Amino acid sequence: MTPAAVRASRQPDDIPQDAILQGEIQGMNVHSQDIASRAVGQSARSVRFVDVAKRFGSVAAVADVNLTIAPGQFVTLLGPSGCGKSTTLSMIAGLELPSQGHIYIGDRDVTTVPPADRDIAMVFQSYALYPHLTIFENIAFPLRAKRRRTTETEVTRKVTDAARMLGLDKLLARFPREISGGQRQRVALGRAMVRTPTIYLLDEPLSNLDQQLRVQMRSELKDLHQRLGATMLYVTHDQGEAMTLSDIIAVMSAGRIEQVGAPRELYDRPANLFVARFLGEPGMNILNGDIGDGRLRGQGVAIALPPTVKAGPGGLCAGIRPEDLVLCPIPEAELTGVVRTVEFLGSRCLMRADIGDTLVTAFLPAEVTTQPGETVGLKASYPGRTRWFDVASGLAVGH
Amino acid sequence: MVSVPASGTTPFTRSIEDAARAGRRVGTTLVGPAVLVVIAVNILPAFFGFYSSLRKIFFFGDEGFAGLDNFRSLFADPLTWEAIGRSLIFTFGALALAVPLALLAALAVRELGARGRILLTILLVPWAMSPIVVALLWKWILLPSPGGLFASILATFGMPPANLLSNPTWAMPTVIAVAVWRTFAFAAIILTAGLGQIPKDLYKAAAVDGLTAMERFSRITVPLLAPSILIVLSMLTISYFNEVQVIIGLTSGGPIHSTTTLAYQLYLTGFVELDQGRGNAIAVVMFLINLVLIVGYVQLLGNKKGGEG
Amino acid sequence: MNQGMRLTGRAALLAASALASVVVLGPIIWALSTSLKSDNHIFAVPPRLIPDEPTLMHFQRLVAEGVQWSFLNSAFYTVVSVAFAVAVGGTAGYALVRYPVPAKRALLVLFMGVMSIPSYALLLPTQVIFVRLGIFDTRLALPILYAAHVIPFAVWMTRAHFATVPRELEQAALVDGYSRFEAVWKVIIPGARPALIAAAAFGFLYAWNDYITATTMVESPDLRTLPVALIFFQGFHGRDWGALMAGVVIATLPPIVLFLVYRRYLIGGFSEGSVKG
Repeated sequence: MTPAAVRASRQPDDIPQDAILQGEIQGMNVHSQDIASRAVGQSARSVRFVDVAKRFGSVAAVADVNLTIAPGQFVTLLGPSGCGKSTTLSMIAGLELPSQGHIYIGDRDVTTVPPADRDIAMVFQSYALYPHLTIFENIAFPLRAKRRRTTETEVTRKVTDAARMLGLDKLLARFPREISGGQRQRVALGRAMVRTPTIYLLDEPLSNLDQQLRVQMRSELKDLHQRLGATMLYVTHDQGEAMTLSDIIAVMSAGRIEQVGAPRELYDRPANLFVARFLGEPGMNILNGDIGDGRLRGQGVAIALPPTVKAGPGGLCAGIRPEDLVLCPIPEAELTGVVRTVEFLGSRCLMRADIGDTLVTAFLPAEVTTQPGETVGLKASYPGRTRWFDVASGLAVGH
Repeated sequence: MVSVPASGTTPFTRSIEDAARAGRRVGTTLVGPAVLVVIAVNILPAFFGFYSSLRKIFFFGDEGFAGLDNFRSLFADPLTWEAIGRSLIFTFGALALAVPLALLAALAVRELGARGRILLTILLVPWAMSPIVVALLWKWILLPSPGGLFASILATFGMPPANLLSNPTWAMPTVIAVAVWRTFAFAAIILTAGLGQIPKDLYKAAAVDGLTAMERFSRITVPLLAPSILIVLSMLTISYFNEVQVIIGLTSGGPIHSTTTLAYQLYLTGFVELDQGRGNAIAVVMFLINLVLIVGYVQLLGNKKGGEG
Repeated sequence: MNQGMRLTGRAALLAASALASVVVLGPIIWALSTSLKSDNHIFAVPPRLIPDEPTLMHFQRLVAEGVQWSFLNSAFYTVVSVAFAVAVGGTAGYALVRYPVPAKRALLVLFMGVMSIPSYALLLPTQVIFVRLGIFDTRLALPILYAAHVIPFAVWMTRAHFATVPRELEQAALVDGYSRFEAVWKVIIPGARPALIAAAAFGFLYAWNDYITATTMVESPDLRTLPVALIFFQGFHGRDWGALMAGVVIATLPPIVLFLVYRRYLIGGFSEGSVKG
């Protein structure tokens, strides 16, 4: 088996071709190392979307999605609610019929194939455990489907194996209503695991858990993926989950895929303003102004353009991550403004300052003594980390 | 290495259009039988009834178009108007008895807590019985001979046996009472459910505010129960207005027409005398009165809900 | 003092409930008692609740008259119509919740509207139609009419229930390798039992207890239902109260037992329907 590779493509008129190429190469580089040591599961399959769209009446829930997921990868569809990520997952599962396009699992066109014939497993946000069946029977349920023809000894072996792996051995005789949320979550995973599916689909599986349990289950999921070597498709609106779990993230918004790549790639080199603002907590600061004199100039803004960046007719804006900003004397400052709040977070401080009419956030060392109302100067700690975007198209330029 | 076909569809795959069409067909196929049966057995006869009311039909023989003759002769007959009057007396008399009883029962069920469920079950037993069988049973209870249960109860108070069912004054109240005996607890189900919807905190708050039990009933229970009471009123009105089995079983419309309601008149004219044209005219009149009552209640119910929402 | 008032109130409430129970159950128990008394004890003065020498002679009398065949007819009509109505109505209720159906709102109004049409007013035109179609006085007549009456209730009760079952449950079953039909059968039906039982019990009470439809749609003695047979028996032997009360007992026992067994579902079905509007 060759190491898994990611291919992502977009409609040519949406995004400059070279930007995509660069993104792909970056994604591959980062990930070939991570994945090299991991065995890709025997049954793992690729998933490919070709021009897939889904319309509900006149509303386009998913528009022109083209995406390829390599076998054994953990890929996350990340986006705000209503962006079409769950619909996309449902189309892979066969629970929704696309309005156009083709979906392939491995070499097989499954666009109109019923869910039962796709050999996929799905974990639902609500877990969808069968309330009238015991935990044992819930996990065994997929094995009891006629098409699988599993013998009773085999069912028992597989269910107990999965239960042991997930720490559910002692709960097998109980009913779903008698166990905790985290345990239900594991039962849902167990039900997916017993049949070694070609692809796991996970629809916000952690969102009903409390914070502590969510972090714990997150690492368990990651561990599970490593052990199974299965293709996993994960849907979430939580970028923390997406970042920690994924080999590849596809950021979605308004039914479109905004960018596909490794987490670090998306974070460091957002392809457009949406991804820049959406990723990071808080997101990237976006600063507007006019280009003149080799600089971006605006109220309280004066940032030198790097030589690689050429201003187009639409104008440019600069993006700087909050953690890339440092305090500096006002004459050297790229950004000058009045401090609004300073929040002490323990290891560092989060400062909010009004730069012109933009509210800029910056992570500063815990020791800073800056007070609200003070006028401060800020600059990028490392100029190469400042991103540039075309205002009219919203797309990244110059890298 | 996984190879992915460059483009195109694998053979033998359904197109999206076919799959979508099949999905839509499933819904129609599953609803279809129910819709067909309901239309064939409930809607078509209604139209046929209107049509028949305009024709002279006797003993299943259609003797041609009659225009409004059936209605004209129907309304020219004073018995028709008397029957309509008796229908209204029966309906609203039964309501006047059943609704307060149901309300009392519902309140008792709530007050009794766990034992209330037992009480409701006991009160509902007659509702599980056949109306005609109930009539038969009460005929025996009310039998005016020394061995009859009712006569014996009267005897312990030193009163002579009374023949309620052959007394033109008492027949109607008796028939009403028997109909209510069978059905009032059904109304209590709905009122109990309605009471259950009233938050208990309201009563605590009212008690703290110093309202007496009577005031709590009139200021909290009655207004908040109004939607349930209206549902009960509309269901029972329609059921009582069309009640015929208890009357057939107890009095056959007598004595001297004193229990001949419009519903019984329809039975007599259409099924006994087999004057189906005129019978259908009565059915149309009944249908229209039902419609007026239903629309009236829906209006009342709709206003109430709108006012609260 | 307040405590005392509450105790008195409680006692009054219990007394009133007991009285109501006597008024409601008394006549039924009296009918049972009469049915077990021999002819010369029936009219005893003063009346006795417990029969001195209990006898089954009245029940034997009914059997001699062939009433058991009418009992079987009633059972047949009831079972066939309820099974059909719950299957067809439940299927429709499910489809109305889960599938795109053209004119869905209109269909809901149709089912709701049909429930408020008094079926009695339709009997006369139905009789004429059945005579012309040759269905009048056949074994088909009553099951068709009973089923048609129960179907809208079944649709309404099951629809309300299916709407509360999360869609993910059957989606999970589909993904787990089951066909749509298997998913419904293994996952949805077990959860829908209360609604199906409520609809079936309601249908049973309606069909078993009907008299007016049976007496107008069926004429042959061997097609008669139990209530019709009892009224005929009364016509011939109007003073044989022992046998008549035995008939009342036979006709009442099945629905009362059914009601007592499934009362939770029946009461639940109707109270939910009324609360949800």
